[in-house]
Amino acid sequence: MKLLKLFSYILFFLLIIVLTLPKENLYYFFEKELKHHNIILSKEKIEESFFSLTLFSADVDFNKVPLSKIKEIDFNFYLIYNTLAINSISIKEGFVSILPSKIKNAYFSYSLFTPLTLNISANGNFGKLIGRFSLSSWRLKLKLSESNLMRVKYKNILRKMKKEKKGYSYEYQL
Amino acid sequence: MNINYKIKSLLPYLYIFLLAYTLNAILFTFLPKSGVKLALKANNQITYSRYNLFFNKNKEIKKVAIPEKEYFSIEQIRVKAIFIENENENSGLVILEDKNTNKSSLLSVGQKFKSYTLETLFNNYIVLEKDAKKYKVILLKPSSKLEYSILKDKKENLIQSESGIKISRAYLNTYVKDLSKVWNNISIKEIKVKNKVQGFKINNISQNSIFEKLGLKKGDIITRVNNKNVDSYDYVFSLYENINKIEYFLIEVLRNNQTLELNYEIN
Repeated sequence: MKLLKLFSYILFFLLIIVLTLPKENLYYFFEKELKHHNIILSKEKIEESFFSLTLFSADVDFNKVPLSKIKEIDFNFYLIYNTLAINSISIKEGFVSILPSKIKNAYFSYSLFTPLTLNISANGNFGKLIGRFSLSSWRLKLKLSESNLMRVKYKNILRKMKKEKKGYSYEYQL
Repeated sequence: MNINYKIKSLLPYLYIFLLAYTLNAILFTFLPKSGVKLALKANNQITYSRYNLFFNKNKEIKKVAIPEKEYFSIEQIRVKAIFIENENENSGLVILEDKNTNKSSLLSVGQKFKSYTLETLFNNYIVLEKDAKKYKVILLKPSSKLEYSILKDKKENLIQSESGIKISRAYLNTYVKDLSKVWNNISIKEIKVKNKVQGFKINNISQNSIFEKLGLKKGDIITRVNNKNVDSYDYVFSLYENINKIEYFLIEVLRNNQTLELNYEIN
């Protein structure tokens, strides 16, 4: 009985933490962190709800150069399991010759059960990408199942990756 | 009695609520209250006047020179290049070389080289400071007058005439439409001083590419294009976006000890 009570207290505490979390301000903090890497999100419309924060039609500038437009970014906060889902990234015309034009969606998830790993998955006209980012070693590992478009038009990107039996892999140390 | 018991059993939840709320309120005080806004320059237009180039040469330095007697000399440091960005603000870049190790460093005013602090930039010399003593180091004289020439192009995409070098727009467009052709043929890297872009250095250039044919060389630092400092990716991208409207290119590069002006007309 006591254990059940303790469990209900913890659950209630987590619920209140999530509900009263200053989500918009956390997003501003995230924006400032991105700015350190010369990435700026602008013109976005912000909508906050109990468990999530959604941004609509954000412009992404890298080094003050317009790079892409994102239709929707969803931050979901459940404390134990948090996700960031990006829907429809369109690369600006000027970069289409070096970057694939459409990223259908990208998904980042973080779970307290694997506290040192951030899981990544994405798909688009480049193919399918899965990977993980280790928060202990700050190492990014990606695996790409490339599309025909990548093989034909974006050989330059593939050249920077390592050819595997199936697809390509890429590792980067931050 | 029953009501009292119910209230008592709810009290822990009230305390938990207050605790969680207080924690988030504390977090709120530390988090930023507004987002990052993209600060665009008011005027992104490329201003260019072909005649300005005649007024760019031999800039007059208005700084008051320190009397000669106050200077000491240094033997082990050589000045390879001086690039004055703004005469009045004493800002710019200098390339210094250690004569013993032949190692070069790029630094701006206020930065240190072998415990000497770069104090002032002049057209043909610099003043360094160490232990309250001032040292004058004269710029190496270039061995010959700096010139550039274009390589002969069989298909006549580049034509050298009396009025300058003409580039065929169709030829230029083959690079504009396929950016991978640009990255495959030239590798550039920004030069930053105190987190501010001061120019772009050419790290590599492919043989027979348009860039080599135009007279650019590995090691050149592109400092100005069409009379504007190349101090941001923003400007580089605006050039790329407006390339169809541009009729002339005046590129200033820092090569060896001199600023070289490259003039092109897009035909």
